Amino acid sequence: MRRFELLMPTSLDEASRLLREREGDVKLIAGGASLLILMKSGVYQPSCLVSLQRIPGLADVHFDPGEGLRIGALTTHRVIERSPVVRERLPVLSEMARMVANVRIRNTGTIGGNLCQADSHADPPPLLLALGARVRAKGGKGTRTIPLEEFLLDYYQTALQPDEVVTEVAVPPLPAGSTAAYLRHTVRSAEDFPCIGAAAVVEWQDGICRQVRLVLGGVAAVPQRARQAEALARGRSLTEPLIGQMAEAAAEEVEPISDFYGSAWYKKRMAGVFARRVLLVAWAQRTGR
Amino acid sequence: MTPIELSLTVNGERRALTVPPQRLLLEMLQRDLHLTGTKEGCGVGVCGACTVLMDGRPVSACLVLAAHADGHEVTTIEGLGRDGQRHPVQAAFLEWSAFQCGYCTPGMILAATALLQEHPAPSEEEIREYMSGNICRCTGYMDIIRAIQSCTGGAKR
Repeated sequence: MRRFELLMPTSLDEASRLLREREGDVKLIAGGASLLILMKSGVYQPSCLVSLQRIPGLADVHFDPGEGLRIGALTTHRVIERSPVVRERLPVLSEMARMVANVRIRNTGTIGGNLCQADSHADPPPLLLALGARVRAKGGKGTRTIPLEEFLLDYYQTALQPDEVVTEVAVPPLPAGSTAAYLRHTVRSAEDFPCIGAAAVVEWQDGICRQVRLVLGGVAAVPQRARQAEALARGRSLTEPLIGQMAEAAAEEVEPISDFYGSAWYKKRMAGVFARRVLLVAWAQRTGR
Repeated sequence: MTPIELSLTVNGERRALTVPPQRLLLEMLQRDLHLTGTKEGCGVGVCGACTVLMDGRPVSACLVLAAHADGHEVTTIEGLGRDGQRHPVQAAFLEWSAFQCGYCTPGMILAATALLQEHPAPSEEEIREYMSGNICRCTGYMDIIRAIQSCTGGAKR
């Protein structure tokens, strides 16, 4: 790895100030699980890292009746996986966290780092987007809250200003009577990034699907809402044929590119397959089948 | 580049070190502390050969900055046995010949130790899931799984 300077601030204000002073060739490091891979491979070689590890209070998880789950940016995937409050309030989030990489990476990698890396094949973004998560960031101009849809901009690009630090992710409670599911399709080994990630959140009312949010990861620079598929189900009762039509619509509306995880042709088809499967799971949760 | 001063516990001993900022935990263990039982495999967190325990939790030492181990407690394969006695997981790996070339073994044993601490009686499926991040290229997985099961009274010779 190329040599770099490592700064270890003990407060958010100090971190933000360091980022401002060094603007440009500086990067925040949380757990390092993803960033160090890029740096070791030479893809990215900042001359200065600002570590968040000595800043207290960034790894708490708690439930707030207004905002839902508030998950500190330095919370590891493993803590989300095992957290009693996450399991109680949003079990789907704990189940997704359990699918991330392997147990060692989950012990190091953080939710804030994961979202800031903005890898198009990561597991958390599609589910968090389907759940309506918001990212809170603190910088020189104060604190702001950014919907995840507006936070993730492009491959490895977020809406963060150069001196902003993500402090937490807020995930609103599911509307009453909702079900949610996340599935991933890997093409090589269990701990790999998924070729396709599929998340569904369905809001039910008297057996009718009031709203559905269907989000596909791995098919574009940022997770994609399958809005045409969503529209097919609104106000209707779900059936297997309708879910089949939704899956076809979802595959139709995504335009994946060929990459490490499969050709564009293959990913488009798998997007349909996993859209169908994740909707079937969310449906089965309601009917208890 | 300003060196980083850190103080941590390695295998029960307090250590104070000054390392260059880019030092990885794996390099610190091998070069600065001469603990060569921790192996480097893939270097990207996939293979598990460099598994060590940080505060009892398995991590890839190849993807942790040494600076981030400051104030933590690190256990390597050298620190697992106590008073000249093998740790029960080490004894089980010997009993079941759960290694061939041995390169993955330190990581396997530390991962298995963490699993059994979290979950004293895992099912075979739980063992397979937890250990899925540790790769054995001699493909000796069955004996590894049996060795872990034997620690819970599951598998018998």
